[in-house]
Amino acid sequence: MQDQKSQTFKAKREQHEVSQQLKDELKKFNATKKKVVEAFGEGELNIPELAEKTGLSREEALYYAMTFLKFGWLKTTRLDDMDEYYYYKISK
Amino acid sequence: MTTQPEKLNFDVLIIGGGIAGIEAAINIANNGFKVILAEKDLTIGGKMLLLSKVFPTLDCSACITTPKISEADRHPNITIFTNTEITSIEKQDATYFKANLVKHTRFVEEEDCTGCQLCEEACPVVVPDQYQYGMVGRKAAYIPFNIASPRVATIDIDNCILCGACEKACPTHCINFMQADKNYRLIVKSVIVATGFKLFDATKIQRYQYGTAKNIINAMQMERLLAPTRPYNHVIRPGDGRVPDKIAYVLCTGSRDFTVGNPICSQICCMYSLKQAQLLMGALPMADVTIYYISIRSFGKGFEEFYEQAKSMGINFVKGKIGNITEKENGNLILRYEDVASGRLKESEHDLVVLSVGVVPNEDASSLFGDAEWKQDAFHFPLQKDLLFNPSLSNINGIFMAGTTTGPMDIPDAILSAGAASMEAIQYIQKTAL
Ligand SMILES: Cc1cc2nc3c(=O)[nH]c(=O)nc-3n(C[C@H](O)[C@H](O)[C@H](O)COP(=O)(O)OP(=O)(O)OC[C@H]3O[C@@H](n4cnc5c(N)ncnc54)[C@H](O)[C@@H]3O)c2cc1C
Ligand code: SF4
Ligand code: SF4
Repeated sequence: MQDQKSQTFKAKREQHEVSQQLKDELKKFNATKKKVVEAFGEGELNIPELAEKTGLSREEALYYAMTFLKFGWLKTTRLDDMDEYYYYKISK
Repeated sequence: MTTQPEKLNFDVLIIGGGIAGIEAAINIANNGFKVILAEKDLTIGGKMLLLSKVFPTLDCSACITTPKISEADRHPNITIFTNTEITSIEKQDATYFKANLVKHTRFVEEEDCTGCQLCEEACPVVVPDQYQYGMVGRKAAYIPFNIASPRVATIDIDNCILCGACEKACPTHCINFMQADKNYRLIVKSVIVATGFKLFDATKIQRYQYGTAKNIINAMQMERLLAPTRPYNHVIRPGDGRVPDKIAYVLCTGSRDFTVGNPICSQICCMYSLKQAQLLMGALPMADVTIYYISIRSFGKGFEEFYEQAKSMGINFVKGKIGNITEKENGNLILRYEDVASGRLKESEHDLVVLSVGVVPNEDASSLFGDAEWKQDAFHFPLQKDLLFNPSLSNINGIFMAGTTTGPMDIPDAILSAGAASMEAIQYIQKTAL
């Protein structure tokens, strides 16, 4: 019963088609995640710096950084001396 | 795939699990009647659960909502259905109504889910989080937020790629992609509509640039930025993550405005803006906060004092209606307005603009009642048959209304109105039983 239940996603695939658009969006997200992780490396960045290193707009850079912060993949390190931007780094 | 409807009997059906619906449910249940509370969202609590602090007491909103929620949740006379849609309600005779409900599937066996979030961790799909107004992402397998009730996971099937990672990760094996929607047929003696309000959609005022300029948000988004379960951990601009230091509030956005079809005052926007401005002064002590207003309506007990307190904290008040807003290259905003004090057209620059959006009716209930026509007033709120003496009476006998369903009001008034609706429903049941 347990085994049967933990395979229900397979049965669902028979009834429910996953669109190409969803698959493409996932690819895009994974590519962006890789870019963001590489941009941080071992160091810390604020949002404009992250945007510049990744080629994302500042708005997108913030969306990704804050999503990663929520998932615990990033952490806040400090506020800059001008009290303008927070810095973030990879947490795991 | 749908199933044959299961038949259930209750004394009262309450539609909408915001603070008004919850309060009405507790009142009725405490009087010994059986209640079903049907909520369309994944969690009960309504908008109050998403607020930061509440005027005029500045209590933490989540802290005062959650005890009410758990009281309703644990009450032996209350059954709560979330993720549920009411498809029709028919009045049978003076003593009962038949209602059809669909409890949509979460693809999760609710009673077995421990809320451990391991499914969420395993899920690879990220989409904008509707509970944070799109400011951050969430997974396709998700719990809306930590204080959601019930705190159980849901699979967002429209965004799911059916990879199975959540199902494999779930320690209680409660994810079930074969779970179907469930239909119910209810027999109830009375109904309370507590479907609440909708926020005015600020994209309708194009000259304010909401949705196009990056650093213009609405007041509900600011509530989220200030709330303990906030998306950014700090108050920063959504356009670039900078800490704002010159914030503007535009009052009456979508209220008292014939051009957008909402001529009435929303009653709460002045006060919630005063509250947010005070909270911002606490969060960002160096920031300038300016409130652009037509007239400040601080009419409740302690409200004028709350306004005075805001002034004494250094919040600026400018009497003037904003004509338009333009975005500069650096993301700052230029507000053009008529300054009533000098009679001159002026411009001022801010780095974050908050639109104090108004309350508009939720017209969901109008499609539910079949032949028994559900009447509306001139502003598209449900008709209050006896506005002065019995404000919770709808135009259909046995159907009552609670909270912001009938018009703009704050939390204390929504609670009072829920009290009135629950007493009317109890009296109606007792009278019709004779
Ligand atoms: C930005 C902002 C700040 C505010 N700050 C304050 C404050 O500080 N102090 C204060 O007193 N008030 C404040 N308010 C007002 C407060 O939010 C409302 O008074 C309160 O939420 C009203 O509760 P309600 O239950 O009537 O409606 P809602 O909170 O709207 O709840 C309605 C519920 O019904 C559900 N529903 C809707 N349609 C259906 C349907 N068809 N079927 C089933 N369920 C349905 C909804 O999902 C929701 O859960 C604020 C409002 C805003 C917008
Ligand atoms: S099956 Fe769907 S919800 Fe589950 S982990 Fe995969 S994408 Fe996420
Ligand atoms: S569905 Fe399973 S993994 Fe997800 S929160 Fe519930 S118990 Fe945990």
